Amino acid sequence: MQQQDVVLEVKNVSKGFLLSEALRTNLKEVLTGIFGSRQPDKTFHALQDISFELSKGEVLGIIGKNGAGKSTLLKILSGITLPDKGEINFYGRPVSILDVGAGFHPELSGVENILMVGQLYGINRKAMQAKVEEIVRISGIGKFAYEPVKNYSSGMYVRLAFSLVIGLDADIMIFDEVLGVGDADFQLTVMEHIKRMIERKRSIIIVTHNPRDIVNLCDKVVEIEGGKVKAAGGTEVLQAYLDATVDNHVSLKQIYNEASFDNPTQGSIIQRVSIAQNGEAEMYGDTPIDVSLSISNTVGPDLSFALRITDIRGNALLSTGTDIGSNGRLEIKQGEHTVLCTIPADLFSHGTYLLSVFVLKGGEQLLERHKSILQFSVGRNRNFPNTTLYNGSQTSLVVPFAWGYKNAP
Amino acid sequence: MASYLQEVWQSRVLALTFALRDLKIQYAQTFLGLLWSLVQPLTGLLIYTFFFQRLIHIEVDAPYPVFVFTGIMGWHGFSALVVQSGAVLMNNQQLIRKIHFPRLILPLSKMLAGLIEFGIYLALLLVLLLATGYGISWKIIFLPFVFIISSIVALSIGIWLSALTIRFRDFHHIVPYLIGFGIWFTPVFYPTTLIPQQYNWVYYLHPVANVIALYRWIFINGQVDVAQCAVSFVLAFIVFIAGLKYFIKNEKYIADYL
Repeated sequence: MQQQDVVLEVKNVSKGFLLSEALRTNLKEVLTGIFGSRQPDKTFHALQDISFELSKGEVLGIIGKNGAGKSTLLKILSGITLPDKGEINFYGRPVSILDVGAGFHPELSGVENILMVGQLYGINRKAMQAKVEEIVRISGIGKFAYEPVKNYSSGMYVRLAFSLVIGLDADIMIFDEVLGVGDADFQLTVMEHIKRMIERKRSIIIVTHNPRDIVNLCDKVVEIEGGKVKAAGGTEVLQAYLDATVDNHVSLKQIYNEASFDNPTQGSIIQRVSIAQNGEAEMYGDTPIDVSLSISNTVGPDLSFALRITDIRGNALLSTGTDIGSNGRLEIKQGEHTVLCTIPADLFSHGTYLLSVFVLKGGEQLLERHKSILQFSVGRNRNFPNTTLYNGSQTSLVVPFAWGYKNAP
Repeated sequence: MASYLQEVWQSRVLALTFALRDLKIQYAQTFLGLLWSLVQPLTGLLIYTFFFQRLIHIEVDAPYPVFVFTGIMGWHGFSALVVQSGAVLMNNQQLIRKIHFPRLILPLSKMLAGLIEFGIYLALLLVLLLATGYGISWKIIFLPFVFIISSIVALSIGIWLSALTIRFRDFHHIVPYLIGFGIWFTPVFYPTTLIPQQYNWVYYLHPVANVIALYRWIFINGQVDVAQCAVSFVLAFIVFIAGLKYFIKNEKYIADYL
């Protein structure tokens, strides 16, 4: 990698915090605290020896569970606090968005907030005034631009705040969990804008505890655990992270392809779940999808299975089960079998979905629960070409129903 | 420190934006709006004049309302700026946690807000001077200097407080309490000539007393001790510079203590 391409170097950054016990000081310590040097003793080590680099045009995902040290790292990258050790060098103008709408004051109008927050991010008032019109246009809030933002709906508020972020247009954009705000429509807009930033060779850091959001975005991933870099590399780090997370046995490699889940638990009824489309390298909405359950029935004939499919945001879309088959109830025989469920064609729109599998006894008692064990993506429905309305992920299910005239002409 | 102050200077418009924001928020959704800022000085003027002229008969060598108002102006310029700049970091925690910008802008914005209030007080005082037939002296050209000195005196305490309050929240409780008493130890509604000789040293070092003396020198031809002013202002300036250094040194850790 060329040296001049690097826009951010983070070298051996460490930071500790004084615990509140150590903050309770007596007068003598107060005075030495004011006039002496900082001497942290009872310290919680939030970050230890963190290093990574970011190059121009790259998208870096920083992942980790809550409490891993992501927020502290972000605060250091944003200049809000200093590291105890190590150094950070930016080659370009960074902007950190720790919160969509940070700095907004409810009593000020949209335009006033844009002008003020822009200045907080270091853009002078004149330059901000030149951008206001464009920002208001992107946000689509129209005449509300001159209303106090306290009168905005939460949707308008988020749209304006994010439009401001786009307007800031820094060389290095640092986002904290911004993909988690707003409704699905707004998130799609956010994604589009982030993709446009990438096209313009902006460098981006996205911090998230929900790596599914950034699967298709990142070039590089750094996983933080307990204040240390646990893993760094490409999207395989994401895969490993998801594999290690309970209830999240999501196969990312096989997006747009078949996916499978092998149950690591011994003696369970569900042993393997796979999802595939017959004879296709990629799955499309116009072809039936087969869900195969390899099972070991040690319970008896009153065993049944249920499937639930949710979208990537967790919205439940549909449920089905062996008790409610379109060809009647399927009785599950004793022993080892593979049960097949065929999801009909012309149902899913282009998008990514999650499959959950439930095992029930007597239709009520829950024996096993495999929540979101498979992630699969479906391509557009090729039977409906030129119908972008139905293939733009506006709704997850796009179904051709019967249409006609009530009274034949 | 020099590069930091340069950064602050580059963000000077931001300080003005903050000051105007605070003004706007303060009077948002009120019917009288900015007129409310006249209420406080006018009630002060009426109450002090009633008690100290009508009831207690304090002797001053100028019309009492003018005399007391110059005192109110000096004391308010100091106390409001100390209280507000002292609390400004606490009151903007959300901002400080989320966005990086030179934090010194926040207390400095309170100085600009003080300038707006100063304008309102000054307008009232000028009306008062003309109404009492006292007239306006050429010495009014020194007014900007006195305002700057007064602000530095207030910020010498305010900047220390703002940085210290973050770590030791005690100051949040102590300051309004001390300010409430401070007016009695400041020649606002009485002249310094009433003070017995043995207490004079207190007033010698009291920067606000000297600021008020300067206001009275400008508007009602009061006496000013130049040496006394110089000593107390130089002391205040030293405290101010030390406060700036402490603030800048600790600025990067403010977010850690919020």
